[in-house]
Amino acid sequence: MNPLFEARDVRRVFRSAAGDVRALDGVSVAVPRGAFLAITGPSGKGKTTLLALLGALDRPTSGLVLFDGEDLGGASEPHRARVRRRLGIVFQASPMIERLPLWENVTYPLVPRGVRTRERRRLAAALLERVGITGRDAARPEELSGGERQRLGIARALAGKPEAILADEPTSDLDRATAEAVVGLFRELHAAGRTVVVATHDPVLEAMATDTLRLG
Amino acid sequence: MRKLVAIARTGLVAVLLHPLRSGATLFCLVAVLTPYVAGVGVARGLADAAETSVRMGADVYVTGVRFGRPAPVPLTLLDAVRGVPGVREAFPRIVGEIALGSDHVPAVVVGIPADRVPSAARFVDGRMFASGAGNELVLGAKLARKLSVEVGARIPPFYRNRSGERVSKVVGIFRADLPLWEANLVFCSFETAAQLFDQEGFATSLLVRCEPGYRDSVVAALRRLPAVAPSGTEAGPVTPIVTTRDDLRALLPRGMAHLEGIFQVHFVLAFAVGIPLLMVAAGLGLSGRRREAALLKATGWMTDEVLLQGLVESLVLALVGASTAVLLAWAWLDVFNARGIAGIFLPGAGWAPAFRVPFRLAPVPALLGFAVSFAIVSTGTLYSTWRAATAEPAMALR
Repeated sequence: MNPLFEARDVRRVFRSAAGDVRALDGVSVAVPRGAFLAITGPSGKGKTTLLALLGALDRPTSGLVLFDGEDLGGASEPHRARVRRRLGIVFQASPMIERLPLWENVTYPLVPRGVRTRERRRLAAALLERVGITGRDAARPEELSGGERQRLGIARALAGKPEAILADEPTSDLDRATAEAVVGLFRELHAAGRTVVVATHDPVLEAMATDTLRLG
Repeated sequence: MRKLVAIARTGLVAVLLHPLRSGATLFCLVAVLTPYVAGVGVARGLADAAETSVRMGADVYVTGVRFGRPAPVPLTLLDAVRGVPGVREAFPRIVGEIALGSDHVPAVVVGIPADRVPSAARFVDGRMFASGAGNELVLGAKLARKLSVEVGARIPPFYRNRSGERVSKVVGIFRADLPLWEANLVFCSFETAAQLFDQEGFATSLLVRCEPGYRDSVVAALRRLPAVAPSGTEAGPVTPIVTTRDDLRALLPRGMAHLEGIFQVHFVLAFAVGIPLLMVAAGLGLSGRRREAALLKATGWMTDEVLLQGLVESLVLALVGASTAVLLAWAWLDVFNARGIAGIFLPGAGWAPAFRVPFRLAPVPALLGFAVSFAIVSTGTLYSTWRAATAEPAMALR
């Protein structure tokens, strides 16, 4: 059986006026279904870059990135978009559409999938409750604290019932209590059979992982 | 289908989500489109008024040329015209420009037989001028108001000619369906007009009405008439020129198209300047748009779905912009009487026309305005959205 994610000798070079920056240099990893992979290492060693490659958000300069056995680097854009619909991605800074209410932000990924507004509202309420933000469906993201925004990002990642969750530093900049709540969510998701890949510095998350990839 | 409707709805919401971007785009659109719609409205209104004038006129007009240039028609030609089989009636007319009163208010004098004053002119005060050279005038209501004269008033000195100086009397004031008539026209007898312009024995044109079914044969016969030398002068002969109502109708759009064309050229220039402005406005907040598009793609939206959202946003902005422009143009023309724009089409009308400017807001210019707005706004919006949507989401989110 194919691993859900696989990277083979992946390189990613960013070109800039100051010169080329090698963000990843020959990284290989395989993530079986249901695994919990923690990508660790010092800042600037390519954790976010690897996560973006696995999440079909970027293409490698060389090497192969496979999702369910299919090459993502050479795939067409519509195919890559279809792959992204099977994933839930939690971004480090939890970018949101600031003027949209929380419920819209959470379920915006479902708009092009033809899910009715009423159904989206119902689902958003359930997801927000699950991540501990209750009764504030109509609030704006700017009204949330850093921890709440992070949990909002997780709620959004879960909206499409993804096969796997990719999260970039989900507990950074959070106080311990909030970070524990977030860790608890990932534990639940993994226990429910979801594949989880987390780029993190957090030893608690690292300890939860079934596999660890250390970069740098 | 439901999916497309849902995406389209997000495009609609995007207009409201970005009030600064939407507002700037709408402002630019309305600023460029409103003068265009108003200008075309005035041009169409004037064309309608001219068409009405032609419809109320004669079947055939006989004018003259000498040295290939317009020249007064000798009245000796009138008998020859009346002798053409199929001519029901023919009468002379003088149309000329004068300046009235101490303020030299410009006016157009129409000298015709009293019973030939067009039915569109309705008396509101006084009576019709008497036949013969009685120096009696009938003024348009707006012109009378501008000159501050009433029935019975005298306008000194009305003219000077070889017979001396004459003072004329206002005997009537008329209203008309055509606002320009009310503001410009002075009706008087043919003889009074001939004395006024010191052109006795001449007319500016002969107006011919034909028996039903005879028009073509009358026109053919009139075109065969030889050049006529005016009696009592040493001036050379004048060649008659025959113009039918249909000829005028054919000329009318050409004349209006000329004015409208000049206006449109100016508009295109204005639009050329406005296009970059509009595109900048439509693409305003490029970094925000780029980030938003990247976020949508990262959460599973496809490139064409992101573009559809931008397209609907452009469509809504263009629709609102064009509708607002049409409403403002209507207000400009109806409430503010085409202040500032009428002068482009009516030389002498000035900044604030003293008469009611005719206008017609036709659907075609409004639709054209909408199409142009949509093309420009969608170019601005879609270009920036396309650039964001075709970039790798990770790069756009960095």
